[in-house]
Amino acid sequence: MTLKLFLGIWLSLVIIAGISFPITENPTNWYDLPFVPGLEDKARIIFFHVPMAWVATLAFGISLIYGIKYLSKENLDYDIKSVSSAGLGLIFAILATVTGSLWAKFSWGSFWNWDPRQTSIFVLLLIYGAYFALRSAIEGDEKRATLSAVYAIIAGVTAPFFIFIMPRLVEGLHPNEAFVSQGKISMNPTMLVIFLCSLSGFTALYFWMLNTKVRLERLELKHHLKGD
Amino acid sequence: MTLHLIARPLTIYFGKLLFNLILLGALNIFTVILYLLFVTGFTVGNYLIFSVTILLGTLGLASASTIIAAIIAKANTKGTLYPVLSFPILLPLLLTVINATKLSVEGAVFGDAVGEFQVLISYLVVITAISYLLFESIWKE
Repeated sequence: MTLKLFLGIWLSLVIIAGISFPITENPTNWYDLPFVPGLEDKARIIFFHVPMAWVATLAFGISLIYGIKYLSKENLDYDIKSVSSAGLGLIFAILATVTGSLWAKFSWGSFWNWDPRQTSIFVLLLIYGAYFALRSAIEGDEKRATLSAVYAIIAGVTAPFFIFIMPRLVEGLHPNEAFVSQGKISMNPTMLVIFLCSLSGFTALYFWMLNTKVRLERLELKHHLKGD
Repeated sequence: MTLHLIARPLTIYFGKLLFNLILLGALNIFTVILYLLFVTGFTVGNYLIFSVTILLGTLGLASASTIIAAIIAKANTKGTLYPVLSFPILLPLLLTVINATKLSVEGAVFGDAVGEFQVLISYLVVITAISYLLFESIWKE
């Protein structure tokens, strides 16, 4: 309970700071955010868009790990963890797409223009859409768990091709250079603190949601087994 | 059901893979002949790139669709599921093959297409290896 409250206050502070701190050309006060060339006020999206994308990656990774664990141990509890994490990952991936395309509207002029990043997240959404379509088409808990774990692994090993193929085919416009140059993060301290607080806050939110979802699914499984 | 008793899972897998390979290979060769004969203005600039692309594309397509078809064979509603499941898996393969074919039609030198072939070969190896590892758990269900 206290943890939940703390998380709520933490994220509220992050959101307030991210939206309301002024962006100035020469930061003098501790709360001033710097002026990023080419991004200006739109730079604020980094506090929300990047954590969403990171949490989605984390959630899909955890889902994959529990999928592999299920295949080797055949314990339905791993499948519950895997599917709960995949569901949360899908939610966060949709949020990353929405925040990203809102930003694209004001920066590139249209919500969607098939930038390599947009194409790859589109395929990611397709993969997990297919994953849930497959799950709904199979009856029997063990069978569903095995087949969806196999599909998630196959999709997981082909996904890296997008990271390497897409940039080869089309030049991207995704602004990584604004904050990451030569493999180092170059960010104003105030911005970095808010960014890291946001990242850790949303990661904690994910783990809390995962825990709740896993408990719910366990109860449903128990109920389902008793009903048969 | 009797197949479960008399054959090892990997034998079944490679049998299915071989069947799909022969079927897809025959279909692809047939389509290419038709294209060369009847589509006006379609000329291949570099036949080496073109034939290597067809060979690697057929191998990749056959191995990816074999394992996805194996998953779907165990599902309850089979009809609409195949395109939904296979599209995201096949997309990297299709994009690379399209790019390589474009290069061959434009008459590029072999060196230009080496990157595409590397992607195709690694895709083929990854998909076949992962199918080899996972087929047994699908078959047991």
